[in-house]
Amino acid sequence: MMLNACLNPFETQKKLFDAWEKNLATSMDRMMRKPEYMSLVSQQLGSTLKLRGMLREPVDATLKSLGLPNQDELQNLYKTVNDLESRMLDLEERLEDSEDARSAMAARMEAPPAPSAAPAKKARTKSAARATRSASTTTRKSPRSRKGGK
Amino acid sequence: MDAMPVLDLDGAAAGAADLTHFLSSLPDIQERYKAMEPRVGQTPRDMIYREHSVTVHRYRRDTPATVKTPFLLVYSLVNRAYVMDLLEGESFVEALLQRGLDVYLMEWGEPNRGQSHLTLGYYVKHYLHRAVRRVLRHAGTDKLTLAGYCLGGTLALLYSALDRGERVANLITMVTPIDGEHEGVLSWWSRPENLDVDQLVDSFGNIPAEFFASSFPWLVPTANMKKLRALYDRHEDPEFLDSLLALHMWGQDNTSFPGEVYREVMKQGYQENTLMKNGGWCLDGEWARLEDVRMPVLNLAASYDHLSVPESVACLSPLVGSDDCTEKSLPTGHLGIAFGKDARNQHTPDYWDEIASWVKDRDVAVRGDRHECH
Repeated sequence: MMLNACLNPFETQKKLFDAWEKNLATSMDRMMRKPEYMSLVSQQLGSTLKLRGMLREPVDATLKSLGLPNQDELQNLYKTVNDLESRMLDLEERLEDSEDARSAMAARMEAPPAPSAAPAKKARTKSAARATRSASTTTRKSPRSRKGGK
Repeated sequence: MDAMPVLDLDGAAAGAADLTHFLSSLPDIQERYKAMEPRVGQTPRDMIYREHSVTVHRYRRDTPATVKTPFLLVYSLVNRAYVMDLLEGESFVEALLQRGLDVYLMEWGEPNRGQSHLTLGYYVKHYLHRAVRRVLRHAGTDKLTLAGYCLGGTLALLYSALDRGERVANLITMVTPIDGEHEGVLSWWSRPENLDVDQLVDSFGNIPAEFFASSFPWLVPTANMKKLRALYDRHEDPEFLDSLLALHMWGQDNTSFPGEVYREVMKQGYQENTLMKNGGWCLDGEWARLEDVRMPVLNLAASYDHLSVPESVACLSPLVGSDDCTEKSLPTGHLGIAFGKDARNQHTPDYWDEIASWVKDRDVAVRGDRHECH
């Protein structure tokens, strides 16, 4: 006896959709890799950009007649402002560098001199521990010195 | 005789109920989408550097970092960087913080017109260099871990080549295109016979966001259909819904691409394939040579990536001078390393563990205390 298959239209629809999506993705990927297709896209983009270029002259003329800045003039203004901002940051960094250098020098001046002679083993260990403590205290007090720019 | 199919009446009734429920929940989904914007990129942070459109933020920590080497993450120039911190519980940045890292994020922002003439060399040698110095100053260290995502990885790689280990202790590149002649559609589109880069840049200056918004969907033309299908199946799962909607919102939120940088990336990166053919990139007359990348390198590719196809990514190891270069292809998509909990990206937290432990193993000595400069 033959068994009858159960049909759920919604599940079938989902399976159909999945199969269609998969095939469509493959076909479209294949199509987009064809030189003929890319040539058409390239031509369309080229024409659009050419039209954009052609429109620029009358737009510039209109802006000029209205006493308004055109794209190039605005761009130059942006460049100037950007340049100023960068220069200000350069100056800030230089100031920070010199402050760091000053702090580092002050810290070095404050640090106690290292012991000149080597005492007995036990005493040497204590002195090393003191020096380490002193160095770490100095490090915490003084801001980091920083390497210069490239 | 063939068996005649019998209509599964119970199944059909359930399917009809599902469809009705889905259609009736569409207005709620739309409302949820509208409410998504304030929910993305919410990990608390402070800006430590801003110049033109470029910013660097440091993410706040409740506890001191267990990894002393600061971690500077550089995102791509095309989309917004908040995908690195997309949603609470699914955020790359948040995950790195939880794993003990001191995280900084560099965002390129929407370039203004005055940035259209700036070269890739300027972006690497000026902006990225300044960002690195600001992070080092803020963290109070000599060195940092530099990590780049997508094209951000290219910039991080070139910076590391010029830096020669002076400031960059470790380099991580994620889904970063290296080989410009791979078989991906993006590479095919960018061939000189298909794309007149000069005409495009000369016409626009900065390449407008709309150009990418209209061309990127063609990389996977059925992506939106897939999303709709997933939405239909899982619209009752709020976590999945949030992920899908947040990612969709981010995908629509492109930025313009700085013109001269676009020209160089397309011409040198893709058309001339300079990293593969010349082993480096000429930045304003100065060669950034990959053989000078001698610090530890972790290079991660994604097997299902349609933008930076794995063949174009997982080929860095023979090019760099590092003796400690780990290269891996992870079973996920372009964003799967940084985001996700859905079916394909359920292993994302494992990737985060892997990245964090790689950095921990290469943690370098710290010089001293932090400079708080909020």
